[in-house]
Amino acid sequence: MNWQLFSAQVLAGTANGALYFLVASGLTLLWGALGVVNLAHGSFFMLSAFAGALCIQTWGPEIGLIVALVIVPLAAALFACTLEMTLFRPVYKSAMWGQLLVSFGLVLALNNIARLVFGTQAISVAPPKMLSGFVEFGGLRLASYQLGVLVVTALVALFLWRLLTRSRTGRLIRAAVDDPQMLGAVGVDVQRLRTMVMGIAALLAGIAGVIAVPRGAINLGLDVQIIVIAFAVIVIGGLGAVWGSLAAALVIGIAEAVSTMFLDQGGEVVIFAVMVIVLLFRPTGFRTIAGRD
Amino acid sequence: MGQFDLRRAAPLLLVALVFCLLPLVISKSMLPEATRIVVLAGCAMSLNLLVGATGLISMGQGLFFGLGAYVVALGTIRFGMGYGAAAALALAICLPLSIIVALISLRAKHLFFGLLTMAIGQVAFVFVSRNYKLTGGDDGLVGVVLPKWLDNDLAQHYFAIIVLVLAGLVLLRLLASPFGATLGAVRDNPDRVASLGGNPKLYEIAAMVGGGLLGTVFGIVWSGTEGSVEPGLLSWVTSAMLLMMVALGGRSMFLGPLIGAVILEVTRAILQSKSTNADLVVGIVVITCAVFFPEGVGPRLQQLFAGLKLRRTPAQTPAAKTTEMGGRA
Amino acid sequence: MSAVLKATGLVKSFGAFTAVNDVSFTVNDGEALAIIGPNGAGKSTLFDLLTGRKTPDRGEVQLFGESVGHLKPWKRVKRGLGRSFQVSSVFPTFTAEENVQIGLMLASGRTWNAFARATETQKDEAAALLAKVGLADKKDVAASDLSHGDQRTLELAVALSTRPKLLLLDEPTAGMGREESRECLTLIRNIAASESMPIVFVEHDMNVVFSFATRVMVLVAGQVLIDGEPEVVRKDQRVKEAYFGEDI
Repeated sequence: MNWQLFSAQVLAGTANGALYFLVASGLTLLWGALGVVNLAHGSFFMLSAFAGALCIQTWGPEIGLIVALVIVPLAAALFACTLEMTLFRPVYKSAMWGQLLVSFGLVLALNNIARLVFGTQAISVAPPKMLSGFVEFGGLRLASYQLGVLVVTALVALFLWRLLTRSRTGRLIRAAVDDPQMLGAVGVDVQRLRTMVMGIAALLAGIAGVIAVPRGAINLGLDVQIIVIAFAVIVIGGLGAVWGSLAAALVIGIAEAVSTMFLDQGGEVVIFAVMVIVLLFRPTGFRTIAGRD
Repeated sequence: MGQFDLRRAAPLLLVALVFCLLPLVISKSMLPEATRIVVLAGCAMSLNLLVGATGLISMGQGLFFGLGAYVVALGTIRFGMGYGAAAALALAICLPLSIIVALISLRAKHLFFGLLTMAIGQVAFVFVSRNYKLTGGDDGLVGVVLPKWLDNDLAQHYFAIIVLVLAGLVLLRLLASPFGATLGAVRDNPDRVASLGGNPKLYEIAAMVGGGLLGTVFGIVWSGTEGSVEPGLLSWVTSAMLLMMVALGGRSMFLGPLIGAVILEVTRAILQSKSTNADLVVGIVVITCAVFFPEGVGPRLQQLFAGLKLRRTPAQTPAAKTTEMGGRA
Repeated sequence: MSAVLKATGLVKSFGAFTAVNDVSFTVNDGEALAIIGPNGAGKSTLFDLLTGRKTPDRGEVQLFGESVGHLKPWKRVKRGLGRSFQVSSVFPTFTAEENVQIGLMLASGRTWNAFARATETQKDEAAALLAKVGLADKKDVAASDLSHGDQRTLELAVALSTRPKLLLLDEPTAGMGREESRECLTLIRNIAASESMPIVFVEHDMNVVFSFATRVMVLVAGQVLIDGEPEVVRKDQRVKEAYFGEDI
């Protein structure tokens, strides 16, 4: 057993999982607490990645990355809020179908826009010099950038935890996951809450998109690729369960990465196999919300 | 409850007639595109047996569509089978497969059910696209061997229309039957069905088998009219597109999926020959329809026609009691 | 008199919350048992246990002398159990007549027929049943368009379509005004008499309860407080306290 390879795969898988978590956590809250399903969430991730790549190409791997981390997620959040207010609000009254249609149309349109703005070539950029090497740990060489990804994600997760447990908005969101009906009954401005959560979700996806850039090729297939994985994470982790989605994302990321050592066609099949198996035994995912579908 | 009579079948036959006359008005090079629309419309209609009639949001219809297409392609290209024999084989495989898929995915409800169907479809997609030796991998397979009578564009076009009409009539009959009514009841209120002596899951499984078989039928037709297959047919992108056709056209209307298919594909076909930005326009069209006709374009058209009729014969009662999908919109 | 329904030691908990706590009772032929109690007393959960919608943690339910074990609801219907729901549980996109037809079709096993015409199937029986409950003139109205009171009545008709031998009614007059409630109750009483069907019903309206029930069972916090004749229950001090001094 090649421990070096194994550890590299586990690290890569964990870093993947961290990204999946960032993308999926916002989506699971949006869906679980507010009943908003947005198929175009993956598009936010992809657009953020392209924008981040552009920043890095313009200002270099160090400054560019920092600039991107500051601007891009905020821009993504703003963009998402605008879309929510103009396109999603009119369709909330028709259950979920309107949202599915609108977001499907957005996926098509945004992908095309990405192609027009950023071109069809996949983009690869180098990580910042400080993080492009390796770290020695217990006889294993671990890629510094991957560790960087973990650090950033951990910070974001911490912030998310504070938001959910300390702020009023956060507590409302958590309560709504357990009882979606309650929000309207308590007199909360549900409309504003939806816009806010959509913005937060896009912010998280934006961060994920930017830090994903130095890791691999940014291409036009990312939107579809990541949304499928995000749904798998939500299903396995449980609807509305942020920490469930963290666990699920890590499991998926590591399983996906490690399986490539043993299986030729590992990767995506493993994700879906895990999804099917988990759902067979627990149809509501890791977290069972009592009395809910 | 649905009715099976000339009045209900007429729109379907009318549409079929329009498609039959198309070769006379459009250029030869556009004919395969029109045929493609017919087949996709049929597949979307078969999906609506699950979505509109039974309330099951399946995101895995591509699995059965691709199954039909691939079995015919593999059968005729690799194993020298005849088109009919390969078709029969595809259906024979579909039957147990649809039951298995139903048993797995019906463990969950609503959108989770849909995501499970999507996952199963993706597993098939990945399997097919990675197995170059067996399935031609990402490149797919070309050169489906067709019987002599199916060897030209025109014949393929009429073949597709005939299958569409037959499948449509079968669906209409099914929806007008006690079984069809029960599917609607399961959609409306499964608990009530349970308290009246029916096991809702059995009906959902039956619906999935029906939808799967019909989806495979149109996959078989696709293989014949396209002459080639590629793994994307099985992917969730195809499934999502079929679902969008249903949603766009209106899931509560029998011809809704067909309307959705026409809107999506005609837009795409017209644009693809003129620019590379078809997706953008199609996306905008979909968004616009979603915002202005959230229940689908079809039901809105129906309302318009009913309104027109009212003006001519004021004695008619406007209350649309029941829709074709076994209940009321 | 033979025991039509016998519940023994039923217990059901959801996590730390015990909804039904050791409930036992018997329903005999010809009886009309009213189950009353404050909100959250576990009445609907009890019904779910009786019909098989939920499985008890402990205890047993016997229908017509035979244990039903963990039989699913649709199997219990075949044994003669009928149920109506507290929140109108009709099929909203179907007309009143079609609603009853669906019930009839399920009872007669015709639901797997893919060839007959659904609109014609058992149409006369459905119309007759609707006439019996007084909804004949509304048979072609979509269920979602019916008034609340009519929906409750349709709920009753649909429950009767399976020709049950024991009827469980969960707050049949919920949301009805005084006059409507009285009509509904008269209807139920007539049907129970003409079909000689035992009935178990959950109710909040005390007038309804005491004008109709042959026996009253009081459920508080998942436990049976008292089970006996209406007049006895009415005068019981503990029952009065349970209702916080309400004049019952």
